[in-house]
Amino acid sequence: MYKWWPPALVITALVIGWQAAVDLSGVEKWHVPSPIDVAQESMKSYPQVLAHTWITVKVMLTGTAIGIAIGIAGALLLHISPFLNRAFYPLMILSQNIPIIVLSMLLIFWFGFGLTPKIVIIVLVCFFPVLVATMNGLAQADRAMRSYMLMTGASRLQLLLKLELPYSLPYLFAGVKIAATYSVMGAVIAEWVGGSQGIGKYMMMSYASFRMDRVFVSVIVIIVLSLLMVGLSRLLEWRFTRWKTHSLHAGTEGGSRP
Amino acid sequence: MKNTQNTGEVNETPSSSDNIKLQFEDIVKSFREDGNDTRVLDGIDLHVREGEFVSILGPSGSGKSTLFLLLGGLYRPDHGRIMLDGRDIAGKRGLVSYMPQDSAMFPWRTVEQNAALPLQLDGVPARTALSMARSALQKAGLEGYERSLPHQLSGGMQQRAAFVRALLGRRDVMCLDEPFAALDALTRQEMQHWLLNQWEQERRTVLFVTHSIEEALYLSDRLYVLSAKPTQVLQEIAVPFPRPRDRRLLLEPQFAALRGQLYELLLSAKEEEGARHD
Repeated sequence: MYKWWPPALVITALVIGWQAAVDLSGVEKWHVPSPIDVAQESMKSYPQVLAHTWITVKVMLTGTAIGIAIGIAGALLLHISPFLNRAFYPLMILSQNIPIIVLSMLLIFWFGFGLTPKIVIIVLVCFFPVLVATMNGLAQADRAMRSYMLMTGASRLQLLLKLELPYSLPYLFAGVKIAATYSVMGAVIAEWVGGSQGIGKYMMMSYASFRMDRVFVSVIVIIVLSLLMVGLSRLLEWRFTRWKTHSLHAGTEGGSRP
Repeated sequence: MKNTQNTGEVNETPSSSDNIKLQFEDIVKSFREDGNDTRVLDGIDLHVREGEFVSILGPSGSGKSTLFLLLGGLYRPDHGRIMLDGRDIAGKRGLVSYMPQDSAMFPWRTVEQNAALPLQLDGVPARTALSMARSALQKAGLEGYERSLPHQLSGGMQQRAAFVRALLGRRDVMCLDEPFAALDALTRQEMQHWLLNQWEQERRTVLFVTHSIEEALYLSDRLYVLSAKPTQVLQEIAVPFPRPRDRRLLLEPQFAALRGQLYELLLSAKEEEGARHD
């Protein structure tokens, strides 16, 4: 059973400690806001915050969906063709080594301040974990099932669609979970660099006007968004790999998967 | 090779005169291992007639499974021909149906979806394939399990489902690769009896690999005893017991005598291998 109370206890203690530290030391509110200040500010400014958040959510979901789709499509392609694999894999790795801030600036320089550069950034951070995890999963397909398929005369496409792809789903979703958390960061960074709306922009504006309480409100929103994204990917994972969790409970499938 | 009489017919092959369905002719296969060529199969000759149940009996590691992988077209023989209906099928896939050692059920497919798989691979629409699978499963005593996932079934039940899947492959020849090797002794006996019943109803051509003497004698019309690697056919034995058979056969003196004879044969094959390794 998952025990929820130890982390809850730690977080509660942290918040109380923070409040006490601010109260006892007498720092200015604009300098370090207390949890109560943050709570009050969030009550006051939530319509504005929600409007920004909603914009971020739209960009984030679009970017993540495209990123995951490209990740899966890319993995299938690189899996089928050893040539493409050899040709493109180094480039994929390379693309992950470009600092995302630099990339954001370039994309905004090229595409302007609209939605496109932000979506591109999110796609770029999301596709890679999905691609790598899916490729790994596609290569893992059970040998006995594989020789059954081949003996029975399955074509390459049938082998892919009926064995390798379903077999790779648990791996794929491990990648999706990572992508989901990356996507929030990607969206925030893209909004920092350029854009007039979104929770990342709101955070930057608050910082620039010394509203640390609002910065903390944005932080909370970002945390909540991350949790929601992870929750959503768990839900999808559960929906598509129910057989897996079932067999795990039955103990017929040993070991955990990355 | 038999001489064909000069009747003016072309393409007369042994299969047309003798009802031979499947024939391995002088099959040789080596694999590279640590830079050395290891000869696994060393001139295997065997055949299966239409509707016949033939077992291949050999010590473990005698290349029995390699024989199947050749038949399934996953490997090509270095030498020799594999003839199905008088046609060389070396390297061709999907011409026989196959039941592997561990059931190799797909865990995300329900039992009926698993059974329907070979039909779907042949291009039968999913709905038709599923309804065929359902009725075949019911005939095989798996009623009520059609919508279960494989892991919810016992080992024996899974093998039944795997057998149904092989049946539904609609190929003339069924290859069963030690299908009961992983089962406990009691389930294994039960499954042998079940398989016998199923086969006596269907009368498909079966090539059955096993290392159990009793299983081979109980089930087959004929059996081949293989040596250890490099594998050759040591002996071909026609099993003289009439059908339908049942468990009482195991108690008959003739059965015991044959079993003893085969045991000696396998044991000497194994000792020979041991001697070669010393």
